Amino acid sequence: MKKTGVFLGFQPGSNLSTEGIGRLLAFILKENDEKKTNIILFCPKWLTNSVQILLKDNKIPEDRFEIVSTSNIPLGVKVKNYLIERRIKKARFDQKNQLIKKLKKTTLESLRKLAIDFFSANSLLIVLFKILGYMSLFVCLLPFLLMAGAGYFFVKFINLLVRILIKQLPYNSILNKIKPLLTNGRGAIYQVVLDNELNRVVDLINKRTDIDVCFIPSMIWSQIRRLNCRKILAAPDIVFYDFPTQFPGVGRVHERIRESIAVADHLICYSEHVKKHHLIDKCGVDPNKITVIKHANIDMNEHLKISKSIQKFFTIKQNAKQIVNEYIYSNFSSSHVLYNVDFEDLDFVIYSSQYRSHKNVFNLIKAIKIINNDMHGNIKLILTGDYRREEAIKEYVHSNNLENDIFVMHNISSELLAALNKLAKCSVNPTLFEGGFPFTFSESYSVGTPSVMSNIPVVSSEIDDPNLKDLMLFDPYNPYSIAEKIVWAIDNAQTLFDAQDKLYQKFSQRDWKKVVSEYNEVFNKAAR
Amino acid sequence: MKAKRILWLLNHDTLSKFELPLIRDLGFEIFTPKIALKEILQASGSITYDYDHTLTIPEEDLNTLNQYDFCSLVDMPLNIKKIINSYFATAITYTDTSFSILRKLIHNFEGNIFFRAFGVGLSKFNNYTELIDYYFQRNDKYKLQQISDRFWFSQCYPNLAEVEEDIYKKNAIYMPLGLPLEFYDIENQWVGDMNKLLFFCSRIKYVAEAEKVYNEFKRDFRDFDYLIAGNQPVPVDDDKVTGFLEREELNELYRKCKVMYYHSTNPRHLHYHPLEAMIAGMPVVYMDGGLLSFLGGKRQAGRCKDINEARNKVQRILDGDAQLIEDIRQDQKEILYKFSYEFNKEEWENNFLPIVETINSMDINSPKKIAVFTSIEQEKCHLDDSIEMVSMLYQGIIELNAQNRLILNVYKDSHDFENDISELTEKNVTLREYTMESISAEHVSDTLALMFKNQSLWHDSYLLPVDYAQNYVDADLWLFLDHQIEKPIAPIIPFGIYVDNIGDRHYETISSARISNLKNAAFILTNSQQTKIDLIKHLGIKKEKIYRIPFAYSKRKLNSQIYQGTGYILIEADLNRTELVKKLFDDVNGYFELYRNELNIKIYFNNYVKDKNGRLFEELNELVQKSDLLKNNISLYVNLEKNEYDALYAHAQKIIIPHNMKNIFYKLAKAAYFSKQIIVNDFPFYKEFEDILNYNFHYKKFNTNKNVLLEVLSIHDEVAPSEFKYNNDKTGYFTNDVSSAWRKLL
Repeated sequence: MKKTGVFLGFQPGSNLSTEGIGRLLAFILKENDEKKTNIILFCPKWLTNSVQILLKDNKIPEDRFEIVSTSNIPLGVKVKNYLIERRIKKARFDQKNQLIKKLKKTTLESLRKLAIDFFSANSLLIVLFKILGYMSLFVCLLPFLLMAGAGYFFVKFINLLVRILIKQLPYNSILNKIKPLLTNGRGAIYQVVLDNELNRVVDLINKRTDIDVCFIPSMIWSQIRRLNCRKILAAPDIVFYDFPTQFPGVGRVHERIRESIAVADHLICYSEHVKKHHLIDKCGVDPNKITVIKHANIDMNEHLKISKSIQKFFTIKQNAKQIVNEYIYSNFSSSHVLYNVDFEDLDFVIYSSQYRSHKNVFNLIKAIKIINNDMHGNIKLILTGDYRREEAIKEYVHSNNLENDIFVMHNISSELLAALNKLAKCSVNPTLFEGGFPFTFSESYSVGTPSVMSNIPVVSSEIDDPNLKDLMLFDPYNPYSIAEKIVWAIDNAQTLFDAQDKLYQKFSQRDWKKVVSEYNEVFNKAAR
Repeated sequence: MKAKRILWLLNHDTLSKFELPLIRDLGFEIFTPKIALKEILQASGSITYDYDHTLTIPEEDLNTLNQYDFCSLVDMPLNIKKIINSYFATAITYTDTSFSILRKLIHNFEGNIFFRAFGVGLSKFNNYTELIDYYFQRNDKYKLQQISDRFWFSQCYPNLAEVEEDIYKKNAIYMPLGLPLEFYDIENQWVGDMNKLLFFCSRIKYVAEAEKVYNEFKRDFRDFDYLIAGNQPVPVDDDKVTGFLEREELNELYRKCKVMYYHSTNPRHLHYHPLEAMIAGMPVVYMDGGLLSFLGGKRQAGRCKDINEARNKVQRILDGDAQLIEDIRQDQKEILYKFSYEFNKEEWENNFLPIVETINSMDINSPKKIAVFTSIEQEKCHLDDSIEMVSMLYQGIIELNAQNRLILNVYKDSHDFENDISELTEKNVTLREYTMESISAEHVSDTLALMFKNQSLWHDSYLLPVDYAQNYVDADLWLFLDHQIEKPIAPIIPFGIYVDNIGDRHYETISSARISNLKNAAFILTNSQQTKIDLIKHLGIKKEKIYRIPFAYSKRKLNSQIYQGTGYILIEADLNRTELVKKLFDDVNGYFELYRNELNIKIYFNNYVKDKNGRLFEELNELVQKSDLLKNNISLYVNLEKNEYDALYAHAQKIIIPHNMKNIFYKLAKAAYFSKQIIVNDFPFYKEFEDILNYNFHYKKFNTNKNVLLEVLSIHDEVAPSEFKYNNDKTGYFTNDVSSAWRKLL
């Protein structure tokens, strides 16, 4: 039987469970008919662990899919991993220090015992015996002591020599000059190493005679041009075209995307907007080569389900609280606002998304500032994307005293995300652009939490009721508009939730089985 | 009555169905916990409200207990401690998931504590001593030893304590467990028409020890026709393993299978399933040395010395040896009797009742001592207000018990006891001087060990209030009147914090040390609902520990000999807020540049500390003196004595307080007291004080970049200030008065 390959080329260290593409892939895999599974996952060795975690996180039996990977992790990746680990894993040094401390303590303790033993002697004869005993012990140990001493002074001497050399040589100025070259060079070499490994993944697929179609869920792996089989490329969006100034250094990525689009036999995107504006208008792709497959709802409730036998004693909300509290107690101390808190008493909103500039996190943070500082409110914001990498936002949060109002919880499990959505008063999505209707809506609605969202085409085009648009959409460029909508949503959460029922039901008509059947249809067509 | 109430803190379904009716029949009122962890409920746990009606305690207290999670990871709140010690003399608990209930009880409950021991099953621990040592900290163990005269190792089988250490051995009492009525639904229904051996082994692929038992059984009985029942969270690839069975399916096996084999040789642990089989009448073949053999009588036909004998007996039963079957069925009755209601009731009456009926006469109303600490930087001008507040707290405390004591501690060398605080000494408040000493976490840890207490120590160093005598460890509670202590308070004695408001969050992020103090505080006192809301919603403080108390402030007579002039506007500012002070000056300067009039403005700077902000004050003074515009119009003040400060208020035309600061409510009260127009920023927590003081304020949005002050100074409104009607009834306004707060805590 002919099979469909899935090409996964994510970089080392990627956590597929927290990437949008990864989660979409999980739904596609999960809903593929268990008995007729004909999908094989191909990836570099470094990604196998992340793939397994993705399957586990989404409760997909590991043995349902064949995972074919390259045989080893390239040396360059290992070296880089080592350097990263060395930077972040201080614990190892601590362990070493503990060992030295223990050794020191044992030695001192032994010496102390010897001294006590010696001074406790109450006859001259015993003292003489002891002196003789200690002297012979000392003579026996002398060679070892001398060696240890010599080794110690040798290391000290070398360290001193290095320090003198560094002082004498114009080390810093040389280093400063060559550092950028080294960094750039190192980056370029690393990228080549990754590219080569992806070429190996291509070879793995090409070797298989049973693969006639390959699904590539991202556009940045241009190595796919060498694939012999038919190439189905997922094209979520090319967001750079809408925000050309916001992505410095993206030149090479853009080239790769264009190369991938050029060699793809067929493209799948999630909205008509991306099909028309990005793929047809900007890239000139033949409309017949593009299929729009919209997402289905994400049902987060399954992560909070409790067994039937205890449902009368334990609610889903209690379950959510227990999940969140376990996370809080193992990650935060009593100095944190969220420590030992009753989440039902907090008015918190959640925005679950990776941190990207077009996700518009800054305006959302400004809205929180307006609510809490100008309107003297008490709203908390939980973000799953780490805004702190953007210095300007970090500074804004600090200078507006928002550190106790905005919290980042990134790389979290689906279970925790579901629990946070359950406890949030409202979900907020201020994004300026999405390839399809944002996942966040159904993520939160499925656990009983309403959403307020950006009034952008991909969102507003799905909402037919103008009243509902008024209730739930805000101008994402205007923090006051976001603030006003959040405050209203928190005060009127049930009204908003009720009003959004029809929209959720509309999306519910599409389930992931249907989505997957549409994907399979595209794969099958391509195979013919 | 208290002696007849029991806290039954177990959440175990099977046990609750037998033990709770038994305890009820013994004449007790019973409280059962209503919140349990998911893991407890999943492991045969349950929650029952069936016994709430037996309790004759106030409904409000029962509701409070019902909402409390006895398994929570944080300390037991003082109000829960108060309730359980007020109404209950006995508590029964078990291991839960990590001995967290037992730990809470030994540190907080002052009655008899019964620890139910069912026997340690398959685990890496050999006995309860090892288990408790694993979960308990050293200090918990010290505490357990301290209360060993009221701690009971309540063993379900009489041999459990034999392998435990002395403290459990000495305090062991036999309180057997029984089987609930529903177990008897299958009584004598065994027919044995299915010639199969029934064996139980759950969680085979989940627990390594279980897999070992499974493999041994398969090896020993490979030639037999058998079924293996038991829940399997991870499926087992074996047709003979049934996996989870509904109760009716299980009962069907008890009716039909010819014989059961019970493998365990553990003398101190027993599963329920051999007992269920025995109730049905199925012959059970079991091993000598196991608990069944210990519970059986002289003749035990089902007992086997080794596996060969077991195989042999199983084979004989499968072959239909009627005599053996009948002998085994007959002998099993002796074992079942040990689980019967009659047997249990008798044992509990003989062993349990004598202990709970002679309870130690712990007196919940024994006199209590509270150490109150005034601010380190106590403004002299508000000393009277603080004294008024302390007087109120003291009144509340002696209303509970005239023997209660309050020790007021003022920061070292800052006050003259005889003159400043004499009115309190007249009221029998003890006065002391204190200082704050920074001590290391190790020091705190050592101190806690000596007091047999456990606290999580997150920080490297802590602040300890010190009087160089007992350092206040003799107090039952500490209360800090300053909530802006910027270092963690040593968690040695349960402490409370008085918070007037947390408006400073609009000027700076509240520090992690302050959050830690508020989170670790056993109670928080505040005056307004809005501040309570802010504490809950901004800092995530649990609402249950925040108590609203009336607002008390000084109503001193004005000393008319002190005169500060008339017709001026008084502005208050906080010298610690450099940026705001500078903006204030720019705004005032802007006003005079524009109007060039002779408006008289007096500015009082709060929080003046020479070494900290003295330089800023000097600079401002210099600026005023050098400016032709300002020097005749502006006067600056710091550190005024209370009489001078009162006079400054009494003669002012209006009072402007553009930003929030310490003692703000005392200032608002003073302005109202002197019937002055008050202009403040529009913080919501001020608005509630209009009601409290029965007086109106004027609000402006000072917290912007605009020169709002210019507008305020320019408008010469003739609006007469409200007339202040002094509300003399301190307890009248709030529903929660001060003594009711103390009642919940002490």
